[in-house]
Amino acid sequence: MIRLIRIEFLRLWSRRLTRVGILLAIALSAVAGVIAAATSKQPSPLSLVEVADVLPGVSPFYMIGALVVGASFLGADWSAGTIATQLTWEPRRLRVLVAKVIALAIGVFVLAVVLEAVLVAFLAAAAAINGVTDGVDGTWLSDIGETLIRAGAVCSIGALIAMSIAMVSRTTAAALGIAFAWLAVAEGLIRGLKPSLQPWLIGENIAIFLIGFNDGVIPGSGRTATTAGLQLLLYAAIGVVIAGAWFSRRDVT
Amino acid sequence: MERRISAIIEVEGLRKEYRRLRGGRTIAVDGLDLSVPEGGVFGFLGPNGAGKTTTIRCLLGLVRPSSGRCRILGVDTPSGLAGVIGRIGSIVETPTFFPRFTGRRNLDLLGRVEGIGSAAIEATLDRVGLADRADTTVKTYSLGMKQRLGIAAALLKDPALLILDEPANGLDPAGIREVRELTRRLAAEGRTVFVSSHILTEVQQVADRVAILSRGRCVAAGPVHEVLSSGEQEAMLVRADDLAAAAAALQAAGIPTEARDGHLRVQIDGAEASRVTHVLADRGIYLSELRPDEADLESVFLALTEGEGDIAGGGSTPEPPPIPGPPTMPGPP
Repeated sequence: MIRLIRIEFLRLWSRRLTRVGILLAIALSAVAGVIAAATSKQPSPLSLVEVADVLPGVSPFYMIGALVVGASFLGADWSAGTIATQLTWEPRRLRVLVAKVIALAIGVFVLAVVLEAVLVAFLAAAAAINGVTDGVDGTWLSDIGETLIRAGAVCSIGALIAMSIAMVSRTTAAALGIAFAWLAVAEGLIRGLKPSLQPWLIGENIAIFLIGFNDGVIPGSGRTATTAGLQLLLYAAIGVVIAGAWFSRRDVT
Repeated sequence: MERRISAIIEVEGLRKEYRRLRGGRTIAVDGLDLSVPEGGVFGFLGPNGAGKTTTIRCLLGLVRPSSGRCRILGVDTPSGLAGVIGRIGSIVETPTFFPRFTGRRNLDLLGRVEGIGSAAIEATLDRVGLADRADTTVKTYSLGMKQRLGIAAALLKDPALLILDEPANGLDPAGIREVRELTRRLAAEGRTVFVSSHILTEVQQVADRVAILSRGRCVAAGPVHEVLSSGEQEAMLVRADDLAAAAAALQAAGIPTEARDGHLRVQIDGAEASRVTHVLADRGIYLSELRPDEADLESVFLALTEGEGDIAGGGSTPEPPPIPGPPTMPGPP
């Protein structure tokens, strides 16, 4: 099993999409840092302590990247037909899937945390050059660390859900289409037509989990960041179980 | 020491149906029984769509049979497959790899499943003639190179059983010859090679035993010479300057005759060949050639499958079946 997980890590890391995504995220972080430094001026200069509040707002962009990585991680297997080749080396399908799930979840989590940390680093450099760094202390570092971990977890969960859809749809495009249609269209309709269902929506739970508390995201709801996180985890688990059941029964042709 | 298994592949009553989206069913394999003994080369023949690849997919656990039983290396598949998969090398249809990874990277990722190191990968790449292109991406490979990479992946495990589905697909004549020689060498090393193909001349040259599949059923199986002898009746091929006169003379003597490819095919066994020379000499017709018409897999195959589907007597692409000769020539006026 460890071998299979290592192989999937290697494959995730070797993918062009992963490497291009990393370079793109670093480049955009650098651009953000330059813009932040250039636009920082009195009376409201760039303040490093406020970066922790900015991160939940940019994390959804990282999650979109995670959805693409997750969907294509398995979609590419199906479209290239390599899943059949893999199964002629390891026919226990659930082991193959579990290895992919573990590699993707950990890999995307680490990448998301590191890449958002890179963004923080660029913003910190911008604040140091042309802004203020007052108020940066251990508590701030702890807050930033917690926010990065939350963002990493959301990206990881998003990647797993996209991967699960790709297992059923067998294509990256269909998986991404379904994921975006649900998040952008279906949840919007539910939000408008049935507000009572808001606590069950992925978007709301992501927002609460990233912010760390229910900051009016779901009015009147006592939902906490922990329950929102657990609910997202449950959705990912349901997706993976369905993918596993599907994969174990379907013919690979 | 490993247990010797008399039949390395056993298939009993295998049936596979596919449901169509618009209703109805397609039967890919229809109650197939098959037994492949250990050692040597086993040819698995059939026209396109006969069920060869589906059978192989069932053996390798890729497809779930509708009914029936498959055993491979003494274990049921798919339930026991994991225990023996390390001794099975396979190519199923066109080998599939990650197109943006290099050939070496693809083999490395597969080899890691079994803990196979880089030295074995190098040796295998060298064996299939891909060492020079191992570091270019697979998407730049020709079909033949992909096929070689597939063969390399199959050999990487140093398998006791090789299942090769159309291994000569996309290869040029030199490549086909290499695969043929490799197949022989692998069998000589004590491995069992199960080769599915519609290129009959290739299989006839390397196989010890064959099974012929038609519409999902096995219509003939056994050692090649036995299957060949089950084909057309024994006959001789005759060539003379005036074929029409020769045909008339032989028909008049009660010897069934038909024209075929510039010869006369006379249905008479070798022991009676002298009758042909007597009859023709009596009419002042002299032979330029008299030889046995040896049955080949192609004619047996066509007789058994009634010309169904696409087969190829040689080359690497499916060809239409040869046009049968004209009917028996009329007797003398």
